[in-house]
Amino acid sequence: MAAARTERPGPSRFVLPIAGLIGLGICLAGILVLYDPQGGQNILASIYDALGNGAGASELRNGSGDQVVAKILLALIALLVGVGGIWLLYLGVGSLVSVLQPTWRDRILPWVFVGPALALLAVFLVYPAAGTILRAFQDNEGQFTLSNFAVMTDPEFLLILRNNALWLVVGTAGSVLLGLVIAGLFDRVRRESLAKTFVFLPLAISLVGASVIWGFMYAWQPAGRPQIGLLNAIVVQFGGTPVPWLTTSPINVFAEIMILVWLQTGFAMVVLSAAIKGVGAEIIEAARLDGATERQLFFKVIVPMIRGSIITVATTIAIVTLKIFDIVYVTTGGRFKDDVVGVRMFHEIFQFFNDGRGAALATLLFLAVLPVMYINLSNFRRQQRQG
Amino acid sequence: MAKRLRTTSALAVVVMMLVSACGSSTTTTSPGMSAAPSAAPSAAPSASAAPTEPPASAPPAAAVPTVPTGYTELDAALGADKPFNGKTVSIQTQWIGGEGTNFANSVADFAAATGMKIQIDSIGSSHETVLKTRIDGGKPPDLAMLAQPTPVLAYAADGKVIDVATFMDPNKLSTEHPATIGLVTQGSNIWGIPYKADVKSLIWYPIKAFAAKGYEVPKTWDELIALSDKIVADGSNPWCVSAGGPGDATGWQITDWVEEVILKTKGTDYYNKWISHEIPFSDQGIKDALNNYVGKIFFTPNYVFGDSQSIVPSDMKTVMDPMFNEDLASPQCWMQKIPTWYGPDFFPDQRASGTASKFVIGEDVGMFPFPTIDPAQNNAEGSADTLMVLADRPEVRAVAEFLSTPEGIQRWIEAGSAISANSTTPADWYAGAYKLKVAADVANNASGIGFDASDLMPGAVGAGTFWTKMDEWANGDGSDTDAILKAIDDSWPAQ
Amino acid sequence: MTAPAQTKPATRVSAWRPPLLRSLPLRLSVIAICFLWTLPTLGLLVTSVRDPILIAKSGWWTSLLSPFNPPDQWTLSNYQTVIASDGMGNAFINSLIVTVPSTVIPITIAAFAAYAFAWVPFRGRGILFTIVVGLLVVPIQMSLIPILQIYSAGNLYGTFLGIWLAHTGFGLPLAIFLLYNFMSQLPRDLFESAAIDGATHLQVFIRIVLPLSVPALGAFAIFQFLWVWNDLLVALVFLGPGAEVRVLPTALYQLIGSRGGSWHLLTAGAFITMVVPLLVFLVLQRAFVRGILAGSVKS
Repeated sequence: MAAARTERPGPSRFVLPIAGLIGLGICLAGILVLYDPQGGQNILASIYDALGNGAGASELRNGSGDQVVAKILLALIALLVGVGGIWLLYLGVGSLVSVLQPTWRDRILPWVFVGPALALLAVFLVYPAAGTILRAFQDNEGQFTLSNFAVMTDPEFLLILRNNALWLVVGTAGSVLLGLVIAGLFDRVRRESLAKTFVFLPLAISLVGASVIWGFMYAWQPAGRPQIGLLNAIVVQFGGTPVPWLTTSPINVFAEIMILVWLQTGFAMVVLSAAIKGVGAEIIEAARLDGATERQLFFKVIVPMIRGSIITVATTIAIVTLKIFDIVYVTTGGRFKDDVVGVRMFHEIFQFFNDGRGAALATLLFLAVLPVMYINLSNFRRQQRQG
Repeated sequence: MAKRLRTTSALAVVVMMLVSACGSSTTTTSPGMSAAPSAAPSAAPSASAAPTEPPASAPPAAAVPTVPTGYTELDAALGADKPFNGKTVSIQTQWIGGEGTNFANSVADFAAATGMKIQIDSIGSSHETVLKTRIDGGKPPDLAMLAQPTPVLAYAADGKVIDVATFMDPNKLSTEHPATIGLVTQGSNIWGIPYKADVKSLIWYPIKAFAAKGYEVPKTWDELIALSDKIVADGSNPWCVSAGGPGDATGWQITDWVEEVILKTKGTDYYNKWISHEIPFSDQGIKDALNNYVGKIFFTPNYVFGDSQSIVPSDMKTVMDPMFNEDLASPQCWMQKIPTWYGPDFFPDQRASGTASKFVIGEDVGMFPFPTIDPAQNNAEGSADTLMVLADRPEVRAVAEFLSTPEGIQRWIEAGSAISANSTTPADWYAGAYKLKVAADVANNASGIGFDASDLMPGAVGAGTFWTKMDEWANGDGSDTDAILKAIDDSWPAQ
Repeated sequence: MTAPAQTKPATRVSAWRPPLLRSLPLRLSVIAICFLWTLPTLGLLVTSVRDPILIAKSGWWTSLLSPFNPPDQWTLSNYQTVIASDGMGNAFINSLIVTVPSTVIPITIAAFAAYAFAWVPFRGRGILFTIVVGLLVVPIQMSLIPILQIYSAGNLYGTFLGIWLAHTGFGLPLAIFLLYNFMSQLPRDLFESAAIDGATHLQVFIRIVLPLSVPALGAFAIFQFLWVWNDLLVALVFLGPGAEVRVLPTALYQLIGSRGGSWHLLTAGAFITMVVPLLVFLVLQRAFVRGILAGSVKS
């Protein structure tokens, strides 16, 4: 496609808008099909009918027959719509807007780009969040009240704050630092993919699987019984008494954080590794020509260049630690002085039926993330200025 | 999993049923029986209704009640023209695995007889989360089973539950579920139907090993302590104790111990006042229960296998494994207090292989009633599951009515694993199963029955601080009972 | 991040490799790291092929240390039980059907948005972006009930479309964040020269930014795939508990819950579940290796 100069007229200008309309059509048709719970079955049945396989068609409509094929067909349609259709839509609308006058174009085009994302976010995340914040200020009858925030005066609340702070600091720092070092080291290893796979592996295991594994690391049997947990086996080997890691405070908090670090280091490594590879070769060659050692190269040249990625990774992991739930809930349920806001919120809503108090805790969580957001905003603005 | 056991139970029902079945001529109006006042302030359950003498009978070949049942929709469903043929009713439960199969079998005959499709959503431990989400989110199942009555009442307060008194005869319901119905009744509204009952005042032990060592089953607390001392002297540990964990459920078993002792030392009136918080946790009676009784078992040296520090970290499913040492020939622990549901599923050999255990309940492993402490306070502890109706269609009503009948749980009883909450269930249905017979005996001999207290207390305490603080108490070797009890009192939600 | 002023026409070395680690201590530490990280997973693997009775009796390393004694301690029966169990095949397919669109669809939407946040100035860009990042903290449990209300009113409950949309919505903050991070670090002169050529934003996006962003797209794809593949709660709530739409984690959980404390099944199940995401990771790894800024300013 030739670069379109704004003054070049011609039919090629209409290619994209027409493609856009086609995309719109695909999307609409596809969504209609997808919306029908029997969509896949119906389409497949029509295909069968067209091919003369009447029996297969009626089987499908009755709920038996080639259901699996129907489901796969539905997924393929979804891919067609979700990728192809949406692409064409974007292209079409984008190019339509592109032919507008520059002032209008510059005002509208960004919203074309971010519009669908914002719409989805508004429905799936903003709306529930807003509802939660509202609920935090209501009592069970819907009247305005601040009493839900009394959850902050619970004696255990200080403990919860302490634990979340530990998670935030130790969990984030640990994962990011380890991820950085590992990404840098592995960058220079011959079988890099293999090595990275080992560190990435924990992420592939579901959280249920992870808690089983770490259950085997932390498992405890009374002294005198054979230890089936690795840590306690080592402890006993050196003559100590086995420690119930998960039920002993405060070591249990660190034991749980270790699980997170084990998982999130893989995440940090993947992102930072991609960032490191994005650092231009000439920069590194230039530094090398200037006489930098490998270590200086890494810490003084590469790291500053990937500063944005480091902040991204740190932000993401920090937010994960703030709302941490699964690890704590599955290992101890927060019952051994290791409670965190996420678990407490879950208990309040789903076990104690205190929706208001749970919502208050969620609101506190939203407040706690504001500093993190602020750091990101500064970083964003800095990047925009620098470029 | 702990939750499913902690259901309010209609043990008085069992009492009534068993008393009449065992041929005793005195109609028992179980004097100590009373519903927990906090849950049902206005319902004085008609515990004194004279039980009708149900005909002694073997379970019917097909697990469906005979028409007329006394319920309109149920009669219609079982009618020849099958008006609900092809309709689907969904029910969400926590039960998976063996229990899930038993429940599925319980409704299979009914589904076949009526042509209905009963879709059982067995969720497992995410049950409460998914249920609340579905109910609040507007897509509830038609029916749901709950392990405690407090959530039923909470949902009812939100207006999400159908009052079964609108389509079922409240008198019939009350008569057939005399003790449990009060827990889900508010005024003239009945929010649930008690379904499956459970007995908790039981201690499991290895029968043959006891005989081989000449140990006798203790009947009183003193005998229990003497036996424990004897076992220690013989070089073993008498008790395997778990707090009920791992994870979020840790603590419920300790609360069961405490509740048991309170019932047997202070009686049901005191117990019920404790549930409603008229008597605080810091009361002397509770302190004594902890320090002098539960603490004695937990903290006397060598009593508990692995020492008192092992109570909290122990997994409740595997804690009894030392008892099966050398195929029960030389147990490393001899007793554990655990409800009736503990069974072959959890024996180590069946856990590992998936095939039926080689140990027979009643021959190799058995249960004896929790010994009496105060001979005047021979009370037992129990719990039950409740059915909640969430949709108002005729076929849903039919299924709900079916589940309220003895036939609704018949297959489960035949599997030897359940007790019906319906008092008209013929007693000889239970005769063949050792577990159920022992449970029945316990209930039969009890002068009063208390419902699992932590199931009836507000959630923040009953599933919250009571459990957590008991874990702390056990981990602390019982040294700071006063501070622990005060902390639980402080956490009681302000009304 | 700025590229230094180019003094010669940039002919990029496409497969530049950094010098290999020479020093032994560093090499050893690489091996040590790999070993430590894999240790828990190794425990999982070993447990999954052990005789179930042994699992409760002794630590998994004992089987490694004495592999031949006892003789029949290794077994594949755990895997067999899991694979052959009821509904596992169907659950596997359902998981694929749920996961693939949920991974691919957010990429498109997020890529456009991230590009706009990075390179298309407009009012409110900063605030909007910050809010998007902030949305990462919204706990899933808080979203379930309101969305379910919408779905049940809109007849989306139990449909695959519903869960695809939900996972797309939940995954967008991370997607936009990761892609923005990458795109914003592309050198400014790329865009400047493109502007000189008169290319529209659309063209720049398609022809320049997108190809360069492949590593970031791949990174996000992996994480989204993992998250959706292993998800239990969202599927239970939006697809429903029915057996025909059950996904793999749910099916596994049903199997395991039926045998209290059955680690042998849990571990085997965890491994089976892990195979597919691992394949995805390995395939997408190639995208990472490339990663060097290829294109340059061509006049």
